[in-house]
Amino acid sequence: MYLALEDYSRPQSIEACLRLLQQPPQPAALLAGGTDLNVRGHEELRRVIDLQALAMTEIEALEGGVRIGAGSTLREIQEAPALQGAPHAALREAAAAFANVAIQNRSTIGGRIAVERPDQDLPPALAALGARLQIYRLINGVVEEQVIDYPLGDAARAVLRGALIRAVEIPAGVTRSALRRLGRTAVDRPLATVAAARAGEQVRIAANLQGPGAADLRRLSRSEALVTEWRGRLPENWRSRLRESLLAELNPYGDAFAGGEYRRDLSATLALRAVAAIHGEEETG
Amino acid sequence: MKIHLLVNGEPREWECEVHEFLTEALRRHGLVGTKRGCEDGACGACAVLLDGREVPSCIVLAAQADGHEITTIEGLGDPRHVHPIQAAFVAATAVQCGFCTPGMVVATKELLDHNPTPSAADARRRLAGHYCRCTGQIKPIQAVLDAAERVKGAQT
Ligand SMILES: Cc1cc2nc3c(=O)[nH]c(=O)nc-3n(C[C@H](O)[C@H](O)[C@H](O)COP(=O)(O)OP(=O)(O)OC[C@H]3O[C@@H](n4cnc5c(N)ncnc54)[C@H](O)[C@@H]3O)c2cc1C
Ligand code: FES
Ligand code: FES
Repeated sequence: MYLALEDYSRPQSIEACLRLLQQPPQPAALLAGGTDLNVRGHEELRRVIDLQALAMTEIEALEGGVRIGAGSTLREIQEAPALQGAPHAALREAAAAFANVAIQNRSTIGGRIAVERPDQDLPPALAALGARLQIYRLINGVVEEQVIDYPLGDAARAVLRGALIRAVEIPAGVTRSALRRLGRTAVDRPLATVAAARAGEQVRIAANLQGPGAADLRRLSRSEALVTEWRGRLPENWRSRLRESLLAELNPYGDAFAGGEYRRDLSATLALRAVAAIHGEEETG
Repeated sequence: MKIHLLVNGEPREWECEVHEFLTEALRRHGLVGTKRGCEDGACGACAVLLDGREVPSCIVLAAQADGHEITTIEGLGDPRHVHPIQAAFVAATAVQCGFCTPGMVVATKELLDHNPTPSAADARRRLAGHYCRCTGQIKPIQAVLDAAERVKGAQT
């Protein structure tokens, strides 16, 4: 019993959650699955505000896109009928790669997004899919709603501080997506993760060179532009051309688990495979 | 604070500390089959079913479980009324010290409730996150496959 909480509450409305977040005792935090918050390292917390009564667990098809309530667990994301098709494969693959089933049963997508750590698999999938977030904040005592692009990098994430994430919206138009990752074992955190998605002729590629201190989650815009230019018909030498572009765009990041050049090369290979998958090509190279 | 739960089918009202984890609350009330291992959500020893889904009870606050249904290993069977999954673990010699066993049995229960005919790959994936330091990881996988047969047999 290493936590030193003095207060637990389970409010019925978003407004009540946001107001309680600012009241004593402090520090306070919103609580979803608790797989991050209820683990060692949060001994300073005095108050938690449990979001479960808000029942933010809808996963529904909406105008061609999908709306995922922030309280949906990673297990529910893998099983939801609205997410079974080719457009959302990257999301299902990211959720299935997460730790183990018991953790997937508790971890929520909102909690995963809110955790201040750009590593791991779900963020590249969301970035490649062009996800948007519906958030609520208290501004001058008034509850305000905002819909924002999935934040890339620390500066963009500042908007999430003190906010309640209500839902993730995956826009219409994505026809295929894929996520490729490599870890040392099936349950280890990955060394690198790349996700790619196709929306008509437009291609999005998002990469994480995983590791504490690794460069943030990034969109690989030059390589995206190159593949988009090919308009769905990959030229014969596409692999070498894309690899060259990817290597120029990815920064090497080395740590105790993998050297920088190796990780950069690995990420380029994962990106090639993800791009092959969204074009129905064989995944070699 | 007071919490209300359905534990192994019985309604319970328990007094808990705000910062108490579900593992502790269960054990304090005599349900010591739920083990305390890593207390970090990583080893599987503390697994219970919350509304039918396996969760690591060491990182669930007792307060979060208020209003929910909990199934522990004691809810599955006891030495006189052994559950087919427990029998399968014994038969496969997937039990030595037994510390990991309640968590694995509970995880198997959830698996078979949703997938009565799992493959070896399903069993492996399901027991990822459950560590056995005595038998290794192979016998528990065999036990899961045998348990599927036994559960099917018990139902027909
Ligand atoms: C054994 C183990 C393995 C793990 N493996 C992985 C892994 O493979 N990949 C990975 O990415 N992570 C992993 N994690 C970390 C953890 O599971 C994730 O960070 C998780 O997604 C957090 O979700 P949660 O619902 O449990 O959040 P919580 O722990 O409840 O909260 C986490 C943070 O998010 C905030 N928050 C929660 N919901 C909202 C919301 N709706 N709006 C605003 N803020 C909110 C909380 O205030 C808190 O700061 C692992 C953790 C454990 C214990
Ligand atoms: S004691 Fe809970 S997972 Fe290890
Ligand atoms: S039987 Fe001893 S840890 Fe598994």
